Amino acid sequence: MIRSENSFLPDFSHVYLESAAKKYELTNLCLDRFSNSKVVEIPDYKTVFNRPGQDFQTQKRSMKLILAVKKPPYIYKGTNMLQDGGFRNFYYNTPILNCLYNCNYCFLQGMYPSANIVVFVNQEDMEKAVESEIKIRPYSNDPLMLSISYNTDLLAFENILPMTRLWIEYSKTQPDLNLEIRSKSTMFDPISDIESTKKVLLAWTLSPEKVVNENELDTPPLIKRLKAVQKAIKKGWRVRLCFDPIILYSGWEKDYLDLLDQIKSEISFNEIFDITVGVFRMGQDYFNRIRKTKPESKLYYQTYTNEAGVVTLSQSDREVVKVFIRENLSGFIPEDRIHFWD
Amino acid sequence: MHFLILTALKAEALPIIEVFGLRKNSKTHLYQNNNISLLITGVGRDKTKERLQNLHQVYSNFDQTIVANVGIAGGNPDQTKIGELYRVNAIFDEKTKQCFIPDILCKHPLIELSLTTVTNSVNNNGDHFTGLVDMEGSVIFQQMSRHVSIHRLIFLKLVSDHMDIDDRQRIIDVTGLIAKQVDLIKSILLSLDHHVLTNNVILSDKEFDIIQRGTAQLSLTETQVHQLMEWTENYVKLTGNNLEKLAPFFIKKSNSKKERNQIFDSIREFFSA
Repeated sequence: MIRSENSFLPDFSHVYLESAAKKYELTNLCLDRFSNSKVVEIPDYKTVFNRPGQDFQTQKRSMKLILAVKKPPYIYKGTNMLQDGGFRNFYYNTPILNCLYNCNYCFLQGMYPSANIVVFVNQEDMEKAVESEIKIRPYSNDPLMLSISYNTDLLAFENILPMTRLWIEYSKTQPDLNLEIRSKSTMFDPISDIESTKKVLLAWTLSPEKVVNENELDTPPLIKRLKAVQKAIKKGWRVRLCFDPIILYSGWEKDYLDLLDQIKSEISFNEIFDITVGVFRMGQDYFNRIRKTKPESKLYYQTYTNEAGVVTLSQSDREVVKVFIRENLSGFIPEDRIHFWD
Repeated sequence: MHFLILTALKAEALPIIEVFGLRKNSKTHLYQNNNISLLITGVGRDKTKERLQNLHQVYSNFDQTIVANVGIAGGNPDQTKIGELYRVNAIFDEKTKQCFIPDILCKHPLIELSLTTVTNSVNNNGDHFTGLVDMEGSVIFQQMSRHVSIHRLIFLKLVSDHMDIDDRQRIIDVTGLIAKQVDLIKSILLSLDHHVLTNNVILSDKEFDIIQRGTAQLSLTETQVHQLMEWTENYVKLTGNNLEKLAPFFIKKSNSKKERNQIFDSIREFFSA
């Protein structure tokens, strides 16, 4: 898909502003940032976001911005689709709905009726909810691990709104809070001046160039992501590498082997906090919703198994992936620091 | 791409009929020429709703259609100029208090304004309304968004007055106003003639027809039809092959459930292979 075709308006040509969101600082920042955009005031963000008859992939060609006030719940328990990476108090929140990128395998296109991006501007409400949850976390000896980039790529947004910065700074004020910030972006520079903290895990999803080109539309190339990883490590950040999802196709082993070799040559695995590995998986409902739109990607026309409502690769294929990763990372990182989704 | 233009008045329609060379189909009451159709809905929410509710009886192919509501509107005197054409980016229904947002994804040369749909015409205090005022917009959005994706719903409004004319003295040259902007209207519509705005399809009309005829020949159940469509789409998408090899399965008419299911199993095996 060519997003930048001339006939389409640039992303964020329109900002839909929920009336209640007017008074927030993040709103003003955003409106300043997009001062040339057409601002349309709306009573409720769902008026735009939940409209029937939207076409997710067509909207991706000209995404709009919606500024809204989030209502409770502000924080959610981790799902079986997410990898907790060994953190027992694992939660996620949604400061932003939707993503600047457009990965073929992403569940967001099945989860949301709209490709437009919702920014929730009431940061303080979300922070207070985190503090309340910290107090009642099930494992009181462990910190609460909060994934803030689950329904978006928050770091990719950093040049637009410094929300990753806000959350990192906030985490420093909460002794029992850790953050996971998962990204495919190269936006380390905008946060590079922040003093690194062990409370924050910066996680980069890395894929072979072929997968990036064919399935991770609008994302930065592998080499640039690796540079961002290197910079983060150099600055003392904890870094997680995510091979998730590993996409299986004819010749995938060679491409992933090349990827691992490239990483080994550029990054010392001693400096990597851990690794997560997963395969294509998606809730049945989301999968069906996407399939119904007859997407371009061949991923949605292949045969999968359905395990308790999750569409995924067969157990045997998943095993092949596990063995492949274990064999090829053996000696580079202890096995207990590789987490598999299954 | 097909275009379905909706106007409330014949006076609004006339210049459009002329510029696109449309001819009235006496059975459907649609004015048509190739891929352009026009329907006169009548004025006000009730007439418009009634006409559009029955539209599917005379118009299909919504997957490939852009619906454009073109017509006159009252304009806020501080925001609009009489005779100027505007693109609507939000519609508020004064009666139901509902808000409808069309998706504006493609570039266009017009100033955007919001539109309020009212029940009775507004003859004074027009500056109470922001942007534009009409009597059909919200109903058109509601009715037509059931048929087409909302990025294919376009509202073009030409300001005929500043809501300061008494109905009894109202003499507006509607046709003349539209005629002055009809070339612009035409160019805006034709700029949207873009295949990416239509719904995605995997099977061509011919392939779809093969499956339709096959399912009738075999008297497949609804579930089997659904499965067959899915397998066929997977097959076409993953292999890039046409459906030639499927033809032999559809030659013979099935005479019993057992026979139907046997042929269906063979089709399943074909796709699995």
